[in-house]
Amino acid sequence: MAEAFEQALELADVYAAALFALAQEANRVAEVRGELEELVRLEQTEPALATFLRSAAIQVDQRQASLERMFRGRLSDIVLDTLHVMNRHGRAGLLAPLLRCYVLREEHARGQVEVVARSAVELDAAHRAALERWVAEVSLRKPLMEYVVDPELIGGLVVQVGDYRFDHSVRRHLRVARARLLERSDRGLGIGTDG
Amino acid sequence: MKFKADEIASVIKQEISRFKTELDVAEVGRVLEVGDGVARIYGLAKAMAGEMLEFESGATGLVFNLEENSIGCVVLGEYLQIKEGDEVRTTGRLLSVPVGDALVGRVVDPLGRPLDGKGPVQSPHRRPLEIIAPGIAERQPVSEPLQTGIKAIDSMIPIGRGQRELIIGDRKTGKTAIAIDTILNQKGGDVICVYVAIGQKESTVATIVETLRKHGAMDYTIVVSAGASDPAPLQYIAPYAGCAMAEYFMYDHGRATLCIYDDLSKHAQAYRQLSLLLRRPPGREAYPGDVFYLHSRLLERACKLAEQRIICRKSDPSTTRQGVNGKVYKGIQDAEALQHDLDALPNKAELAARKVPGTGGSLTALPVIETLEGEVSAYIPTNVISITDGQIYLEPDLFFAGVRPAVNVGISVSRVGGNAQVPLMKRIAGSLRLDLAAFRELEAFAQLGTELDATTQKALDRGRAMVELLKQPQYEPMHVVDQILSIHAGARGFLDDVPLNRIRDFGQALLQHYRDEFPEVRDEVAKATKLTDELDGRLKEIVANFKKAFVAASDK
Repeated sequence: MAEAFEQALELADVYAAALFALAQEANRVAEVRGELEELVRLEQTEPALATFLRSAAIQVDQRQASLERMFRGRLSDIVLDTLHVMNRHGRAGLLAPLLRCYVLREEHARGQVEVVARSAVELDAAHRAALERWVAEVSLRKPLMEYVVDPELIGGLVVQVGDYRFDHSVRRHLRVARARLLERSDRGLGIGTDG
Repeated sequence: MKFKADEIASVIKQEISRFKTELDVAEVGRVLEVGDGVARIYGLAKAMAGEMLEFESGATGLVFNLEENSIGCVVLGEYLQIKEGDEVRTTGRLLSVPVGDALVGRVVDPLGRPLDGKGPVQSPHRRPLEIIAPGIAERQPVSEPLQTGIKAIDSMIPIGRGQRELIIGDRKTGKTAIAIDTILNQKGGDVICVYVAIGQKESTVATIVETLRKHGAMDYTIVVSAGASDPAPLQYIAPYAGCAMAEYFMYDHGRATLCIYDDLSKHAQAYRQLSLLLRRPPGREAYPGDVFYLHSRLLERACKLAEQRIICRKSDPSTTRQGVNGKVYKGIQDAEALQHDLDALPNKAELAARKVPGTGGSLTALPVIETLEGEVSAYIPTNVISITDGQIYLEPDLFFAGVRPAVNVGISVSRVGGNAQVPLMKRIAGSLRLDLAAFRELEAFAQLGTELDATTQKALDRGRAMVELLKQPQYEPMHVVDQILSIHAGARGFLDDVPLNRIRDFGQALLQHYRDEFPEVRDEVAKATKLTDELDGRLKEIVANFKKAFVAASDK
């Protein structure tokens, strides 16, 4: 579930912070990211691996020995040692959240920011370019754009830049108008008065 | 009243034409978990402590904990509709409540939403729930009395406007009764009252509201209620909301206000519940470490604001806000400068120092604390005792012995004292507390059954008479002039030989006698600043003559 994933992000971010710092020191940021992506892909395609990493029935020492056998020489020491630390703390099943947090930290270090732009209809190239320029100006970062078509917006745009949401959609304007009319009806019609 | 369709249409057309589309910018997070009135939220890295949050369901939250990767917030309102994964937005604002004249006479919840079924509260004004209390320079010493209408309190434990006086006692000792009588006694005066009910039964609050309404007190009272069935976050913010509502009148209109927090024990319990749910480290009795600050920052907002004065012409209207020399003098610290400047002006005979309208307001706080088994040295009671400017201690033993209000004058104290007492009352009631304390000691001695000398017997008779005199029924607050006349009769010994079961009738009849036969004496007492021998003599003569007639009528 998405919500459980976000809860896991909170836990995984601690390990991601440490891993990223080590990767930066060793100048191997991209390499470590590649290995994490490989591991996550493996976890997704091999359900047995996912179970193995998460199962509470497997003792920490047994899992450690198995990880050592499976990945020593195939993964960098940084990544494997991180896996061992996570295993010792019972967090071995947090590979996907770990990758996500690592990617976010990498993007932040590169001056990038993830942006999701939702629109009611498909945006053409000119609109997309203009939007990218605006996001870069507002966020002072290089945007990594994702475009989503959401007809429920009716019109306009909703742009999520990191934690910030810029909402200029027709759907929201209609909601605001509705709230104002309801609030006006609470106050009374005030015929002949100004507000 | 019928509205025409075209009128409604024109209003809607007006609203639409004035509507402006604006870009909405908000920081957005997601709910990780929610329950018991608290929620944990992922994201919102830039949220600030105390900031208001908006949930997707429309509920409001308050940022409570700022953790590394998540935020703990308290949900003000219906948390059952919030789901895991719901979006939460920051608002960039601190929590505020509606304030103003529209709230007077209403019963509202701590967010200002009406509970009395009389329609929405429409007020254009709002005030933040939490503000920094005024500093030293903005205050002046408490010097005006706030009359409670209760003889035992106004004579021996006088309360001033801007003071914090704690009402403390076990359950069912009359704490709320004192608070309500104080509100009732403000009728016809200039005090706006706010009664904050925290964690109480809704039936109790309904009874209180009905009592206030029956006595016409709702004309100047606001009731803020966060009942026992309300979530802990609402109980937590209730006293701050009540204080903000009173502060509107104090700051913006220079009015005297009275805030009653009933009771802060339940307030502390609600705060403890929130803190434990949000995993703040528990301290003594499982309260969080800042439970003292919880109450100190509330009670420090009670104060007497420094009056601002100007020098203006005597003929200027009372609404003048500009002095002839353009200066404004603030409080007692500028009193000398004011006098100096006034004396230095050439046409000083035409000039006078006058208060600037809307300044010098006050907020008097009467917090209530419930003790268990009389334990005043428990954690929360000692905290609040150390914050307030005195306490009124109610004892169950006195209550069950028929002494009501059950005030133990021995350990009750008002640190403002006679500074906030009508001069005549101060004079007449001067030694009353000591006399009663001596009486209590002698009473214990008298129970040994030994023969007593005349002086001791006289002291005992006097003490018993005064105790009887100080008894007062609920919902019958007494005007300060009546109190003075009543206590004067007792202090001069006229009640010593009146049977104890007739003292109440004697007191009532005496006051009626003054009202009917000597209204000019009442007026003189109301205006007098000291008890001259002449006034004392006249009062004694009136009481002596009355007593003869009373005794004669009783003998028949």
